[in-house]
Amino acid sequence: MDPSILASVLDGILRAGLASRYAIGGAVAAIHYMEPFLTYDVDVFLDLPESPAGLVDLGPLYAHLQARGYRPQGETVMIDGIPVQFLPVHEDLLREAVREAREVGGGDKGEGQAPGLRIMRAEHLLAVMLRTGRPQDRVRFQKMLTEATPDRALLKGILERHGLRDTYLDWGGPPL
Amino acid sequence: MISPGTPEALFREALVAKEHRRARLARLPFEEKLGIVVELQRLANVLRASAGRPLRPVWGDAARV
Repeated sequence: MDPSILASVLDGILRAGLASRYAIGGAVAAIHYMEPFLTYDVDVFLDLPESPAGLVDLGPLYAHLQARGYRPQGETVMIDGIPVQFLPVHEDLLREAVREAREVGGGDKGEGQAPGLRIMRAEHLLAVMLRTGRPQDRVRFQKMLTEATPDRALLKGILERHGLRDTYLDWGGPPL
Repeated sequence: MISPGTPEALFREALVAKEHRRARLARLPFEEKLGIVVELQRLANVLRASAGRPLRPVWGDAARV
């Protein structure tokens, strides 16, 4: 897998004005900080423009991708042989996670500046796991706490801002 | 290399080695980690095939067809 192709496609979405920001979350983002594990989809969170009624439309995004040869498959779009799921940001925690994501890779590739992949910070991923609360989130949460060495002050602030401190303690998070 | 010891000591040593391996894998460059994910997808398909379960697409394979 060549991440630079996905990075270029995602950068193209921003350049086309279809979203103001994006960040990779979910398992692939977690793998950036942890021992690799089996996964199949790439989750891309997008800050999409909303209509005055608060609705978002993925239609223009799908049309943009299809025009470039990336076909939908189920709830995903195949990009360079990878199923990518586009998820609209729908709450403040995700909005903050997308806004504060880090750019990984990219840089000068000889033909100008290549975009990197924007990946959610470990501290936001932990908070999203707490918010999502599935059994696999609980398992990944424990592993990530030990393998990712999150910034404790940053994590504490995120948990407090988004009302997740009690869940964090309930899931066995160490004192911050 | 694990030196001889009591079963308990060997077991503890194996757990420590496993933790070190996890920490080393967690520090790999992102691109290398994605390569490992692809290998895991291929391995998972070997296991699926042996259990008679349908295979799942491996990243990049569809793009190369």
